[in-house]
Amino acid sequence: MNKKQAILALDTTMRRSAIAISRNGTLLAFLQDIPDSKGQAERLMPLIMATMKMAGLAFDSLGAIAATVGPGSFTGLRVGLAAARGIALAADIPVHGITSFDALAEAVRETTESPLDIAIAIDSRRGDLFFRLDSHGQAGEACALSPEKAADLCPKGPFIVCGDGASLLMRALPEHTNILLRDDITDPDPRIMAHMAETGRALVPPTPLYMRPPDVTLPKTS
Amino acid sequence: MIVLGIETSCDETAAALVTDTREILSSVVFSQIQQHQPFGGVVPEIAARSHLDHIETVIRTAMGEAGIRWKDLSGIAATCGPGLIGGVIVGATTGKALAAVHDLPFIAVNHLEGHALTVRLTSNVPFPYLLLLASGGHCQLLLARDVGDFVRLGGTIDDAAGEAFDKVAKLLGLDYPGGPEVEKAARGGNPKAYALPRPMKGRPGCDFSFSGLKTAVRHLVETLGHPPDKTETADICASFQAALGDSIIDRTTHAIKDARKLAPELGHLVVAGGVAANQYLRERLTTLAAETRLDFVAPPLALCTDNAAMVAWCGVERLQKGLVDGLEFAPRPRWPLAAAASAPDENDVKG
Repeated sequence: MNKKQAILALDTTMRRSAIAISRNGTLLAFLQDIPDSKGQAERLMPLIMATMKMAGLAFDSLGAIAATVGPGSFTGLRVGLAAARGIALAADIPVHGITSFDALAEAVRETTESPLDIAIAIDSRRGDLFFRLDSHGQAGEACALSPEKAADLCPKGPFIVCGDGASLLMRALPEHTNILLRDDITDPDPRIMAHMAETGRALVPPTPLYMRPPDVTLPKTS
Repeated sequence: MIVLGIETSCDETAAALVTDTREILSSVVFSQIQQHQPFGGVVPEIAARSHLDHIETVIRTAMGEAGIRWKDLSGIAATCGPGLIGGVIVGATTGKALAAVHDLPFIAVNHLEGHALTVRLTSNVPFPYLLLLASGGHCQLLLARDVGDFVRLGGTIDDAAGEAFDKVAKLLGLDYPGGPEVEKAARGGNPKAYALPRPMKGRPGCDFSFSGLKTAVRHLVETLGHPPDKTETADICASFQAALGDSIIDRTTHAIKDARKLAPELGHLVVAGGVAANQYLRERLTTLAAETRLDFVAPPLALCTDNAAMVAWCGVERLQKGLVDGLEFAPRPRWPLAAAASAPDENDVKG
């Protein structure tokens, strides 16, 4: 039996840190802390150590790492990717990225047989949404836009809404739109991400998906 | 003993391997200057993104150049502040992850202590020494008594010295970063062409102020009524550099007296930080040291600006004293190196 089979998956894009370790489809450990936009850089590594201890594993048992690449909190995704890539570099194992959209859509699909379209709405905390509409099981185009514009892209209904920006989107939808709200699916779940990494589903390079350029303007030339 | 150092606190992504026998096995610096140049200064979010983009390659290169494997290391040291927090978080988290996987001690390095101890790496300077730390973000005078034991004698009440260089360069339409550009332009200029203030000169204490000097240069440029030509630019740069130099020499002279009161055996005057790369200031400080019977030491130019060798060395010195940190260490944007010797200076928020 190959010793290096365990997968460590982590999500830090939604202002809390969550870590899962699985092996051969079995969850070995799962820990998450309370949401707090500050302090992820101090809490993440100790939380990873605690999860490893809970799983009873040393780092040389890991076969791969998976981390969310965003969209989400810029600082959060950088903390997560720096840790994931640092562990992968030191342990000489691959590191996979998973978009927040794919992690959320996968959580919906894992818990429903429904063929309905899935609207994934992530609150950008700037008054707009990171948004993707998956139709007929196909991932749509990810975009950053106002809740109103996102509502325009939605089908007449019925469809599924998930993500922590769901309430922003729903306020912008026409009254009596027939939707199935999955308000239990707001944050990427590393337990599902570990499964995605094991089965090779929706994996991308571990590079950040900011979906927004840095806030800066070029100085006026005098 | 070999320590890996990681530096990401401003606009340089750097990694280095240094031994306890003062050997720099490798020192890799990736400069982001080109990314920030269009904005005339460092943009924090651009810096943070760039650090994450490059840190792995920089570490791999440093390990490869030195031919070192993880099992050869005695510890991982990473700058955990002060600096632009987005970048500090990237370097600190990467360092913690490396340390965790290989069960190595993690050393949270204060960037300023990295600069402060560099002369012990390059020249084995003994404690105590007087340190003028001057860079784009910092300007202070410290008495270095031991690793982790610094007394702050004075600091800037407004701009850092390097910041003044950058702002003057901007006023004159010179490139960013301004320090080397102003120095280059000043070479052919007349330092007495324009009368500029010598901030704080003659005042008691060891504090600096450069904001008034910068304003004086702006008035001067405005009074010209036209964009300064080459000769005027040279003269303005030379006059500015002379004024800043006079101010630094005056403040450092006071600091030497203060430091001797606390440490009569004081033997060295040390300059560190990016501004220490300025040859004119180095010459002025060399003269001052000779006049006050001190040995003057400045690190080689490549170790004056931000680098990771200084972080690795700080890691070596701290590890030797058993000063290691936990993986819960919080990266911090502000992290004073020392308590003030007298009244705390609330204005010197930059460190």
